[in-house]
Amino acid sequence: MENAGGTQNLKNAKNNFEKTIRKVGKRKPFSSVRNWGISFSLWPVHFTTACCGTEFAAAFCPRYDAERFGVLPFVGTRQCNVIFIEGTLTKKMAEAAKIVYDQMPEPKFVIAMGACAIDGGIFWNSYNIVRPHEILPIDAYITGCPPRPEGVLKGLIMTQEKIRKRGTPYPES
Amino acid sequence: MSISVVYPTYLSAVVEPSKVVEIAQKLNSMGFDHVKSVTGIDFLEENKIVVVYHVSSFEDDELAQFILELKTSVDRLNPRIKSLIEIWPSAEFPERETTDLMGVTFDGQPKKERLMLIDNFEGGPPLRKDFKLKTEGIDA
Amino acid sequence: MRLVAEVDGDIIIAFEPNIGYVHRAVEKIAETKTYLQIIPLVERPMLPDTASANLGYILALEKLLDVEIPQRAQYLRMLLCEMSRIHSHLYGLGIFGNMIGSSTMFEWAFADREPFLELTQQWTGARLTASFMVPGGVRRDLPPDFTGKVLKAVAYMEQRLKDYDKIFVNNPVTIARLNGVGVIKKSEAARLGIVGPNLRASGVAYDTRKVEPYCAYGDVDFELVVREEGDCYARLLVRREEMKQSIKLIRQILDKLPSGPFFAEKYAKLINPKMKALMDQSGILRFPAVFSSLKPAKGDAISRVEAGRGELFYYIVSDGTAQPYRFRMVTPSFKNVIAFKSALLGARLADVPSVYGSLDYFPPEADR
Repeated sequence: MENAGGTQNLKNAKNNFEKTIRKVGKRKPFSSVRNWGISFSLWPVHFTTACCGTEFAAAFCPRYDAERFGVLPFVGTRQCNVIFIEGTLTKKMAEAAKIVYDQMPEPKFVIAMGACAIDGGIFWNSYNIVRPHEILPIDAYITGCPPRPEGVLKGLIMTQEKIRKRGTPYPES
Repeated sequence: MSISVVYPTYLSAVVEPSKVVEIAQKLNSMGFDHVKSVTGIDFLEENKIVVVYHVSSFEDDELAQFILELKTSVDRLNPRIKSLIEIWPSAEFPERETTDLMGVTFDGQPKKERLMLIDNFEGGPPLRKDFKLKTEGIDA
Repeated sequence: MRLVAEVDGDIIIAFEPNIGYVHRAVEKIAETKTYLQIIPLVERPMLPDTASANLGYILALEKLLDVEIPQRAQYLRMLLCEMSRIHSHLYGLGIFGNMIGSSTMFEWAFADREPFLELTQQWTGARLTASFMVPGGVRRDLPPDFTGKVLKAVAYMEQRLKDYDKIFVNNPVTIARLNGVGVIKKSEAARLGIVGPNLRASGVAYDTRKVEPYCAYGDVDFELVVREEGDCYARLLVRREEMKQSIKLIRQILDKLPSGPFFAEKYAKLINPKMKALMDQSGILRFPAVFSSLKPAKGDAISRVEAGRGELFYYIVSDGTAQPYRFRMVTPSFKNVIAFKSALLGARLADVPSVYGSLDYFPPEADR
């Protein structure tokens, strides 16, 4: 009985502590630091959807060097926080994309790359494609078919500015 | 069976569906050792689907210059034809693709799963002429 | 793509590739577009090597249109195809290096693609999807002092191949991982129907440029690169050696380039005279009005070209209208899918990245 009371007090103290941290963390200096940290450590999942993957890979080559923005493509979904939809999303691939998106931890972002990811592109009347904005919430669109690697970097910078200016929500428990 | 020369390296032959296996075995022993493609062409008014095999040779230097085309017609409402996978193993994936997209059944293919489309695809085989796509300027 | 392996401990006893994740229905969409609108459509599946996809389609179409191409246009087409082959093989080597863990090879190979992409952009206007060849010829002539720049780029590439040898090809880790892995024997390779450098690494001496020479490949001379072992290391060496042969071809093409028009006379005389004057002054093609709804003769046409990854096959059935009745495109990666089933039987599970990288498989190309 005594121990039960002790455990209850500990739980209350923990809850109060978490509530205070969240309230303080949404205020100015702390939220800016948090957003700055998130924006410079966006790690995309290794999830090449279609032919735009060629120019995405070229954006990591020494001429354009996306890694100086803090971006590192990584293979495990649990350690990544951004997903690039490169190119067309077919029906079979859309099921896989939704599963991978659900596995990523919050806060997470989606960048749509290429004309096919905006509204179908050159394959707009195909019987086998899905518009990405119907299944995932998209943060930035990059135009081009395929976009130049500088376009990919610009899309990345736009997402970073969006994070720093508008902030990211705390995941509510 | 009738053969015609379309241009010097391209020969076209029209065969009956029951004779295809026999002719394929003869061609295999002559030196034609692989299938380049398996195509299905849909003719809605004439109620038939034409299955086209393109074969050629890799190892025989003289036959490698020629591409031989075998055309057979099957009935559109029940398209079944014997598979040539025993004679030419390279026909496996092209035949599975034709089954998936055109609806032609090849007797003798071991795998029954779909290759390109999702399992619950609605609307019938897409490459047939009665499956319409939106066209720019007309209905888009 | 998705690979399903059935294992007994660590040894693979059955292997099944599950493709179709990038099936965008190029063949069905081509039935709703006019013949000239199909050119960008056909380039998109084969993105690392678009010049060969473009060339194959135009060769099939020209057989139905019955038009004669001037010699200078043939050589310019060959030049773009060989430059495209070099950066396609570099893409393959880069991804291969990344898969077996050598990120240096990945960064170096992708960095060395940039001179060729920059040259393609200065010539045609786009890095990859140039849409450069049209029925009748090509769209632009060479810019001034372009020849000097191309020769400098190929000389640089020859130097770099020696650096690749030191860091990747002769590396003991690479040799240990790739030697004897994923063997495809000569008797199987031809019957399975695999194409390209994979076929030549198994001992079959077949290259479409030698069997049925298109463009002007009969006038230039190069060697076929063939090896006997059929394992992953042999495929790596074949690709590396083919880049050297492409460099030799580029030098011969620039040497023998004839002068003359770059667009066929049959269509050039249909261009509006004011547009023709602009064209002669700037060197950029202006389309004649008949291109907006080209109606070729009724009949069938096939063509085959040697792309970077293997032999590409086109089959067009035309019924005399402005859209094709049936359009069939069989890409080299689709023919190479079957190699996964036989190369990996009896291998260990950790050999899967080595074999995947060595076969140079590109999923959007296989699924079209």
